[in-house]
This record gives sequence, structure tokens and C-alpha cells, in this order.
Amino acid sequence: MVFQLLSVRAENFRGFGAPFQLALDAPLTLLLGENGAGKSSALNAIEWCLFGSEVAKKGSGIDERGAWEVAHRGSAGPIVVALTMDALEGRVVLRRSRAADAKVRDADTLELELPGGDVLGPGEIEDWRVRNQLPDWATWKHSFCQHQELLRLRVTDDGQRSAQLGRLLGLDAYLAASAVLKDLRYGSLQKTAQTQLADLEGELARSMERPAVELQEVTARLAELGVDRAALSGDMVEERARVLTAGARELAGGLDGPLDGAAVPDTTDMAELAAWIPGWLRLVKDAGRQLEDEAAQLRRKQRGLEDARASLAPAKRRRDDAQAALSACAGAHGSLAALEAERARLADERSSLKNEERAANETLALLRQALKHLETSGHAGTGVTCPVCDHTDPGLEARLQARLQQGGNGFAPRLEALDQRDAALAKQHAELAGLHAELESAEITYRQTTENLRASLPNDMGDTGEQADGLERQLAAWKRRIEALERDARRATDYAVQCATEAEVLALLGKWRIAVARADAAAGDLTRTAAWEDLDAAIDEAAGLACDLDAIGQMIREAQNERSRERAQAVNQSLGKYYGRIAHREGTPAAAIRVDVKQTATKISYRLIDGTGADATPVLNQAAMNALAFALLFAQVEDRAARGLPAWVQLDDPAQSLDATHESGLAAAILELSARVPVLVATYEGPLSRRLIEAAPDTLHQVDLGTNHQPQGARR
Amino acid sequence: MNVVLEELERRIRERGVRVNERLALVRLLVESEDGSEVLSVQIGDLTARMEQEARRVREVLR
Repeated sequence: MVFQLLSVRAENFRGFGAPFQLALDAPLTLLLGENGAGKSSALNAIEWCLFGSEVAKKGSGIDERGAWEVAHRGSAGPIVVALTMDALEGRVVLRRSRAADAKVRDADTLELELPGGDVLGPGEIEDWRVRNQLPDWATWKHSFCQHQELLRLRVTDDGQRSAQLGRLLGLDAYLAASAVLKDLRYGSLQKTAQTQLADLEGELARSMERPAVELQEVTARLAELGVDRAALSGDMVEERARVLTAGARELAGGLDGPLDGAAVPDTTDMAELAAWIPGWLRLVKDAGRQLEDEAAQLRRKQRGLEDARASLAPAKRRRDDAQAALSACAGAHGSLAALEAERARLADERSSLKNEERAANETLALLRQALKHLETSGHAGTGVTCPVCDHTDPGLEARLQARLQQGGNGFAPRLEALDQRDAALAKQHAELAGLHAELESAEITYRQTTENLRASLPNDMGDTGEQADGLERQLAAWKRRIEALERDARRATDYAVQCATEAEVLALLGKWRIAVARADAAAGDLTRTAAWEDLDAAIDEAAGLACDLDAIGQMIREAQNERSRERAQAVNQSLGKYYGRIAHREGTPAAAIRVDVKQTATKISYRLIDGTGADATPVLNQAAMNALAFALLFAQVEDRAARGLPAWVQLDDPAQSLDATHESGLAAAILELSARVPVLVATYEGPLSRRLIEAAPDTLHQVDLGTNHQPQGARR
Repeated sequence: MNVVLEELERRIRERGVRVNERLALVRLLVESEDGSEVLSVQIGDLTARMEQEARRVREVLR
């Protein structure tokens, strides 16, 4: 073994404010001091120099290190720890330093001074560590030292115990390789490969079903459209396409006007037809609507003309009837003017008669006056003498009376006759006036009717509208035109429906052809495609890698087992020796502690059993547990030394929980170990230290720390 | 680690199955501290390739 620690120097580190130096080159170094004297700081300084902040954080594996302070409280200078050691290169100094005001993330300064004076930086130091087979922190904390917090976990924690025993059996490399394999989780790669393959096989099965279902659907729809399933063939698309375009050309030529100039492609290409058909269908439908509109317009004109023709005869009849009635009436009673003249004459006659009547009435009044005079003058019955001529007329009174009796001379009957005559004339006049009004109304109606008729006729008919022949000819011409328009419109509409159906048939035939091809393809082996072969290769590769890794894991476990079998005897001896010595049970079955291997399909673990074959740890007390933990540590260190690996052990207050007997036993074990491996023990004055001082006067380097952190002892 | 490498190489040769591939893997795993990362990358690449090829197959199926 080339590697050996020679000394450590620390300044401003934890318990050390002033510089502190400790020689480590003796087989056994004993640091003696009371609590707080700086024993642990000395051991910590070695660890910090080797591993830096790895030893002073929560992830260090030592919980109490989470709140660790590296700097010495009260010192303002930089923290510096230097380890002098013999290595493959000769005597080297590893120096780690940290500024007093360094932040958590600031890196330490680490350098290695080589014998020639060359200085290595951090990257080169890593190579140097590997070259000298220096341990990493995990190996150090389990195989180089006994931390109080970790001591019994070596025995009680399954994982740690198994790891410790694995190391003891020299299986570090196998365990590390197994850990790498475990971290890879290559089993999930195999699962991914299997899942991918299963998914794709499912999709392949579905994809083979899909064309068959599609083919069935297309064939059924074609049957609904009148295409016989048995007649389906690859050429049918072209045949139907030719029929469709021929029909289109016939329609375009057959319709009078609307489709003039419409282009019909001379092709059976499905893509071209699919692009042409929608536009063509729109044209045909527009043409049908245009023809229907024109027919409807002509029908409205036809109805107008027929209505006008139908109303002309009644209007004429009414006018003729009015004319006849008026003539008859005028013949019977004379004209309106004659009747009016007669009525004027009758009015004059009546006026004259009325005047006569008035005069007669005045005469009668005078006669009555005269008669009354006669009676009052006493001349009654004697005649009457004229006052003017004194002529006496004896018959005057009689005559007067006779005349008075005669009265008004018949004026009333005459006047009544005149009134009756006038009333009769007034009635005749009213009748005649009514007939005149009816004639005038009938004339207006007749005139309007003829004007309407004329307006309903085409302009080129001129005034011949009333002429029956022209009218009938026009109506007949219109009728023929309407029938032609309606026929064409029906043809266009019917064709549009047929064309839409035919377009669907063509599209379905296209789909049918593709579906047939797909069904044929699906029936073939899609797994022979390049894509599938590539996938298969990738999955094979993945499965191969996973299998290889699995096989390697298995081989590692086999090799591990073989090696552990080879090593078991030596390890068991070493374990039993140290345990028996510390626990004072040498030669008893209880001291026959040995390693037991527990293996599952994917994992190997280790436990400790006693001489009876029972699990050793459950029955152990605190002291026995500590003894076993020390035995494990010592056996490992001894084994490392035996294998030529750097070995070193440092014990911090190892006597905790041990009685005097166990302390004595521990001292004996330490002395035995120190013959093979350098040991650093930090403890207080007690059975352990006394036994060590007594038993090793030549190999012990004792340092008394006292309480002021300064080394006071000297090598003895 | 060399002890593992030698041991595994011996065992692999004894069995004679996919010798070269397994030896290459063992060397990746054991010789270099970064072996696990290399293998992780290899596993990741294979997973990605499988997914890519599976997509291609699905396109063919469509």
C-alpha cells in the first residue's frame, strides 16, 4: 500500500481558530481531550479537506451535518485545511481553502502540491484520486470512519447493512454495476416495445377491417341507386362517364337557348368529371328555372288576353240592350226634349188656369157683397135700384144668388187633370233619363273592355285585337310556346335529378375502385412494408438491449454470488474475530457471526446470522450492537488493506454506550487493527485510552488537546 | 470495476450469445463512470426511434 496520511493542518476551521497541526503517521494516533477540546474538529478537518462541502450538507448522509458550520466562529481569516500524505507520486499536500466571507454557492479552492512543486487543480485532482484509488465520500463514511450517528445503522438498517456486508465481501464494483442497471430501468424499454407492437397490431387488424366495411357500404349504396352488384367492374366508371357526358351534350343542344355555349368535357377522368359536374348541374338547374319563369310570364299574358276576350261580349250586349231600351222608350213617349216641352206647356196652362180661378173668386166675393147689401138695404125681394142710374132691377137678387150658387166654374178638376198629366210626363222623363245613363255607362264599359283587349295583345297585333281570328291565333301561338317552355323546363329539371344521381354513382364507383384496391392491399401482408420492418427492427433492437442488460444483471448477480462464496470464510473469520474481541465472546457460538446471502430474481441482499443460524441483530443490546458495528467496520478496513487499497480508520468517541469490559475489548480490537491499518482515535480519559496507552507504548502517538484546542502532547 | 468487467466478459464468452453486443454493453456499463448515461441515451434513442417508426406504420395504415 502506497497511500498513507502523514499530517493534517487546520486554521479557522470549526473548533480551531489558531493554526492546528496533527501528525498522523503513527500506526495508532490517540487524541485525548475533554468535550469541546477539538477532537471531532480534527477528524472533521481530514474529511473536509478530502471531500469539501459534500461532508457538510443535508445530503451528506449524516443528518446532523445539515446545520454544520465549517468556519471557526470569531475568526475573520480564510479557512484552510491541508493534508500531507504519501501517494503514488510521492509526498503530496492536498489543500482546501475557503474565504471567510464565501457564499454557499462559492466553490472552495482546492489544489494538490506534487513533490516537484507542481500544483494540480480540481479537475486533475479527480484523476489523481482515481489513480490512487482514494475512496469517494460514500465509501469513506462507511468504510473509513465511525460516525456516531451512523454507527449502529450499519447493523440495524437493512440497506446499509447489506451494502456494508457487500463491501466487506469485496463486491463494491458488482454492487455499483447493479445500481447502474437498476437506475437504467431498462425493463420499461421492453414494456414500451411490447406496448408499441401490441397497439400497432391492433391498428393493423382494424385497418384490415376498414376497407371491407367501406366496400360493403359503397356496394350497398350503389345497389340502392340501381347499380347491380354483379355488374360492378373496373370499366364501369368510364362507361357511365361516357353516358353522362353524352346526355349532357344532348341536353345542351336540345334546349332552346339557356345552355347554348355550355362546355361539356370529352373525358372519362374521374377528377375532371368531379370538377365539372357541380358547375354543370348549377347551369342546368338555372336553365330549368329560366324556362319555367318564361312559361309563367307567358301564361299570365295568356290569362289576361282570355279575360279581356271573355269580358268584351257582355259589355257589347249591355250596350246594345241599353240602346234598344232607350229607342223603345223614346218611341213610346218621345224624346226627352219633347217631354220637357210638354211639361213646360202644362205648367203655363196651369198658371193661366190659376189666374182665372183667382179672378172668378174675386167676382164671387163682389157678388156676395152686393147680395149682402141688398139684404141690408131693405130692398130684398123688391128689386134693386141702381145707385148710379137709379134703374131698378127686380131680378137682381135672384140672379146674384144663382150666380153665387154656380160657384168657381170647375177650376179644381181642371187643375187636378193638369197635375196628373204632369206627373205622368215626369215619370216618363225619369225613365228615359235612366235609360240614357245606362247607355252611357254601357258605352264606357265597352270602350274600356276594348281598350284592355288591345293592351293585352302584342304590339304587332295593331288594332286587330277585337278581331276574333287574330285573337285566337295569338292565343294558340302562346299556348304552343308555353307547352314547349314547360316541356324543356321539365326536361332540364328531370335531367338535373338524373345527373345528380349519376354523379353520386360515379363518385361511389370511384370509391368502390379504391376500396377494392385497399381491401386487396389489406388482404396482403402490411407487415411486409418497409415502415413495419423498420419498426420491427427498432423493437427487436430495444428488446435485445433490454434482454442483454437483463442478462448482464443476472451475470453480475452470479459473479457476485461466486465471489461472496469465495470471500465468505475470510470475512466471517474477520467479523467473528473482531466481534468476539470487542464483546468479550471469543470462542462462543454467539461470536460465530457470519454473512448470510438472501437472493431474489432481481436482487441480492445480505444479513448477519449467529452460530445458530438465526438473524443476529434482533437480540443484541446497545453495546453488542455497537460491538458488531465496529466489527463490521474493522473487518472492512482490514479487507481493504489486504486488497492493497488505501485504508485508514478514524474513530470519534468510540467508547459511547460501552462498559469498561467492552471498552477494553474495543481497545484490543483497535490495537490488532492498527498493526495492519493506521488508526486515529479521538476520545476522553477512560478505560479505552488507558488500555491503548498501556498496550502500545511504541506505536502510539498520543496528543492531549486539553481544552484550549492546542496540541499539548508529543509523540511517545 | 475491472474485476467486474473481466468476470462478466468471461461469463459472456462462455455463453457465446450475442457476444459482441453484450461485451460492448458491459464495457459501457463498467469501464466508464458515465456508462449509465451512455446507456440511458441509448435507451432514450431506441424509445424515440420506436415511436417514430410506429408513427410511420400508422401513416401507412391510414
